[in-house]
Amino acid sequence: MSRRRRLFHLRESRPAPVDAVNWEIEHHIQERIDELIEEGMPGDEAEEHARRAFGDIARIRREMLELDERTERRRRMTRLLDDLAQDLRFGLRSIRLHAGLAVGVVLTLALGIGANAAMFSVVDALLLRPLPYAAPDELVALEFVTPPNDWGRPNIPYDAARAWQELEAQPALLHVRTTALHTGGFEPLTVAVQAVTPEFHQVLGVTPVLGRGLLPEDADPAAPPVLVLDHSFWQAQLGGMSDVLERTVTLNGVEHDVVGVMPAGFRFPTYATTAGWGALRTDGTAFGGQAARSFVEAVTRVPPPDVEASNARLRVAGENLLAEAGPAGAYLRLARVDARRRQVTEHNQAMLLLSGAVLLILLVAGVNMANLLLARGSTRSGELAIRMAVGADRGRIMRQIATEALLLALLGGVVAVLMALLVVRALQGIMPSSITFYAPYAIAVEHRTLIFTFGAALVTGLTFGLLPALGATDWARPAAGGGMSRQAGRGRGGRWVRNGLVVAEVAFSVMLLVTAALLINSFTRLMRNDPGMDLDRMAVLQFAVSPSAHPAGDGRAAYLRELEERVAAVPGVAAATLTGGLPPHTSISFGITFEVEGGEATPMDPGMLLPFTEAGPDFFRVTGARLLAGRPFTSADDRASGNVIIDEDLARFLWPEGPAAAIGQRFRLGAESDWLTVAGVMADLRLLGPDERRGEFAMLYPLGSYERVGGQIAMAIRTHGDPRHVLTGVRAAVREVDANQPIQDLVPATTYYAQAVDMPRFLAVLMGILAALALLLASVGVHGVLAFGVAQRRHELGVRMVMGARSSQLRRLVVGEGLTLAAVGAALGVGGALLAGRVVDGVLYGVAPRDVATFVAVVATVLIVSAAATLRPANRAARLDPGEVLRG
Amino acid sequence: MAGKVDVVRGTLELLVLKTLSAGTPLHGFGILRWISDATGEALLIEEGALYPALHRLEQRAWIHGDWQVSEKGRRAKYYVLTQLGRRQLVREEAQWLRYLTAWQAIAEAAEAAAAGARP
Repeated sequence: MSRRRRLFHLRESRPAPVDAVNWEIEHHIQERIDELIEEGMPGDEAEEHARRAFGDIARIRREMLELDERTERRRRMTRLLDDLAQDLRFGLRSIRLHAGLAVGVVLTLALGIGANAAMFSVVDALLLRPLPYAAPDELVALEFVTPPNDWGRPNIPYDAARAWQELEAQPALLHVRTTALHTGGFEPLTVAVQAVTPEFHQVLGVTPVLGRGLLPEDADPAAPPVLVLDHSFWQAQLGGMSDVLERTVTLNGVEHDVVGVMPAGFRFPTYATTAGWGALRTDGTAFGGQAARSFVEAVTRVPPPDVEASNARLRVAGENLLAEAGPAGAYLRLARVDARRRQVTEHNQAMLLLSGAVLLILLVAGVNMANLLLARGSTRSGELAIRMAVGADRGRIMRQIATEALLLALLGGVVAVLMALLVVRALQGIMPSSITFYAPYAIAVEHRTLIFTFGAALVTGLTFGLLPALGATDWARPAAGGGMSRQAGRGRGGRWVRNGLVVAEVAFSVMLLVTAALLINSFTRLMRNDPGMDLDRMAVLQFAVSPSAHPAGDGRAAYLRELEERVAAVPGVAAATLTGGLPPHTSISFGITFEVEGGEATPMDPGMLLPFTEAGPDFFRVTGARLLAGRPFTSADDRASGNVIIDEDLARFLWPEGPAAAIGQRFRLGAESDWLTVAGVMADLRLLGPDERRGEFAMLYPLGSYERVGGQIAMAIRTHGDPRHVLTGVRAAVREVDANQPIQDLVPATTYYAQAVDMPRFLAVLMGILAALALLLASVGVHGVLAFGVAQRRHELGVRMVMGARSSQLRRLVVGEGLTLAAVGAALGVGGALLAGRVVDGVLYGVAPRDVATFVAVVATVLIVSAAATLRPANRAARLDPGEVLRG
Repeated sequence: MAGKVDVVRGTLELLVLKTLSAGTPLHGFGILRWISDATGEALLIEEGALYPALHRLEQRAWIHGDWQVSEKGRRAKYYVLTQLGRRQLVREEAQWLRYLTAWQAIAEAAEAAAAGARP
């Protein structure tokens, strides 16, 4: 077959295979008969002779047909490959010819797909990929439910958990998280470690890559302490030493034999990193101390269909288990670990929001791609029309266009992967630790991301690449073509498609812009809230005191006092005071019933928290918190005195007459709690950070003499100037007192406080970037369509000019057209944004998802940007030379 | 039909290729006729075997068949040699020639040996 014929698929008249074989045989026999008759044989004898001479016709026919079938298969395959090769050649050539356009399309696609790929790697690590254990869907965690609400806590009273473990037919794992002072590494560190029962490896189905796992004998209180190391801790803190199994790790001053190393990437629990796993011994100790004080967590395996039956059994048995531990009506139940991480939380809502946003970006990018291709599709429809006229069928041309679109999409996919790598790296820098904390996998671009990226590239490429193809073959249909020169490509259908695409683009951008504006608005409102402290010239030092190095008692009190004095003496430091925690990392009480002495009990909303911290006499002087009435704590105040300082909100809640009326009054937090006396009332203090919705009250307990201070401590440090200048001095001062004292955090107070808003800031920044991107793409779209329209309608515009239209009129015509498109898009976008409001609402603070001002501002912005995008095409229309246009 | 030689199966295909190498499109009967004319009816080709052979050659893309109307006004499938077929023919012909040369050498050697053995 000639090249020309293949290109256009002129059909050959080919008989059906069976006919062909019969004809061929019959032809032979007829020829033979002719020959025999010529030699003088009578007709009927000749025929009989000829047929006999041919042999077994049926067998021969079968043989020929089989061969023909194979021939046909080979031909089809060759044609397919030929067509493909030709399409690819054509595609590459047309990409080379229109390099500018190709670069535009590839970059647009890469932006859209890259953003999605990056987001996918986050969502995948966080929510989609199965947990890194054997048969993760079978894992169930024990929950402790206390009515009236149905909310299950993973923390189970220790004794009840042990009793349940005995009862359970399956091996069950108890575990508890604790911190330990690690010395002997590069620097003293407070590390998180997990005490686990020896069922650890069996229940999770993961064994060490190096050495052995924990054994039942390791849980014997008399056994030597052992540790199974986390892979990255081994690498980062122990330098990945190869003889690690002969080494010991010192935790809380106790040497632990390293018996194994878990595989890289293993995490348990799924949130956060752990330095290692040690045996939770039968007496509740681990890591040289009491690990299981009151609560532990528990995990076992139950196939998903059996969970309900297990829970029914547990409901009955659980009452005995909890007889002493729980309040009346409390019970135990099993909850699937896999399902629990997909619960609606602030993070998952944020992920949903961002996924929606990047999907919109992809749609905008796809629309832009379609628009760019359409613009070209119609300029080449003359070529397509010619090809159709000479016999190329519609499917063939569609395939040609699809091949080109796929080529572009694949190129876009490659660039998108590069982009995803960059974006993910950038994200790792600004992602709130609360997101990375809960991810069971490290967030990275890996093979699942690659599959997703190229899948997305193919789908996007085909969808938005074929859209113009549909249009192109439509116009190119010869019957509709009429005159091929100017008429081709000006089909009314094409213009509608183009306009529709621009409208969609504008609508998507409006949705993104509204969401971004709401989030930014929400974030600025959060930041405008008065924290109740003077954070500007202040630093925060957060650390934990090792129970082994400084056991509770006089020694610890002296140690802490010395730390405080030495830090206060650092040059540039004005004063320093220890606290039980500084905002936003303070303690909380919940499930409280307030009771004023002589008054009625008022239960606090069950969802509300009462944040509190412990403070010393210098608290107000150092932190800048303001006392409104009463007095600060003195060194004589301690926890036993029952003296507390409450903030104005709580004071007014309990004594509506005002702060002064509260002084000296007594109240308590429940029938079993001790009475508390109000020593002072302070201005509102946001102990949980700027967002007060989870707990608007605040309370200070006296820190007292330091001997009873627990693990976590934060020191407020007032400085004369920029707090960053004293950080080195403070670190040195701490090390001078105890070289083995780990420092968890030493930062300016503003940085420390801002940890509370890292999620809102993350969302605001990211959505802002995405919305700006969408607006840019949309304005490119508006510009492109108008510029193309002007180029297409040169003739008409020229005629108008000759007929007396002025430049300004033509300019107005083009601008008006662009603004109409933008206005329609904006209206649709406003509708979409209203619908999307429900998702946004969950992450907003102090802004309604239907905030009118935001919508007005966004629509105005979009219209202004669109108007700007119409200017260049409008000017071009106004500057047309009618003579030249009409002659050409 | 004394004096006629049966064509070995493998050689039939080579014969067909060689016949078509003249360049004239031929139908199956035409090929038969041409071979018997050229050899003075020395070769006996089984008619039934010719057509499967033709289709096998077509399947290998060595020849290509097209439907045309013969000079007698009958529709017939005319075969031509393809580029691939021409290359195949060259290869097989060379092999045949080598075989023949070798045969000749053996025959001469055998003859010489027979002559030497005679007293």
